[in-house]
Amino acid sequence: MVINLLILHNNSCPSLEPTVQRINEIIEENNLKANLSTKLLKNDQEAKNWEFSGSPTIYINNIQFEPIDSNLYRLENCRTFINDEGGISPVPSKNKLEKVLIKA
Amino acid sequence: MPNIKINDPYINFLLSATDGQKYSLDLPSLGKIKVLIFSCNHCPYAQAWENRIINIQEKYSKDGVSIIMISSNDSDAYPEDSFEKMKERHDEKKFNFPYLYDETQEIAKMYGAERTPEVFVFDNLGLLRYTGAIDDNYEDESAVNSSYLMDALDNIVKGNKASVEITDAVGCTIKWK
Repeated sequence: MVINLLILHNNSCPSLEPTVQRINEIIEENNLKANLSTKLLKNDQEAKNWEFSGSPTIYINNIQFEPIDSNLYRLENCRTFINDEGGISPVPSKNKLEKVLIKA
Repeated sequence: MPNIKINDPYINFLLSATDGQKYSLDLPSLGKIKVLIFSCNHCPYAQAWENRIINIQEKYSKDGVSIIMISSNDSDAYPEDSFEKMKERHDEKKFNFPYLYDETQEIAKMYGAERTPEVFVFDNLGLLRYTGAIDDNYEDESAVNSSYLMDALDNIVKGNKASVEITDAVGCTIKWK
């Protein structure tokens, strides 16, 4: 089964590249089959339409990875993730992503 | 790109801080070496570096180094960055440096700051000696290869120039009105 991955991003946060790199590592290390695409959002309306929590917002098989309980959809926002140590990170935890992708 | 260049003097200001005081860069209570950090509450990059900033102030206070953190973000669009929320953040994190509110965003514009966090270090003559990032790993302090800010301070407190004077600040963009 092929995993469909979509990463929504903006031009305000430098988080896209490390996130893509992290996902590609997981795909390669686990021999997963995945279609990875990225989409640059351009305005607040697009952010609202896509329920964009900030850059990067990751959809795995159309389900948002670690959704944030908020209805604030701001184009310029950078996403906050919780890392493995419980701290704040602007990119998703590789371990948490890996668990979700393996189950997808 | 910053509006001020290496060797340029600092641009002074008078801003309110979360501790109830007003601060300018010529305040005698500040150390001779000043580290301006444009930051904010909401940005995950700013948050990721906060503890390191506290530790750097702790480490270098004996050398006459004062960190001054400034938030310039539009708090109408980002209520997490309001002055009240800044006060809460100051108390929560027990910042050991002043946290200033640049409500009009004039100071960020004068310095040409673009990211949070973005660092400007001035030596004891008030001249810019380093600008850019705090270090090269926002995610994992134990994996830092280059501690740009601390390396610069190690040189500047000895009266030397920073070995690396400019790096790219990595973080969220400042949210303009």
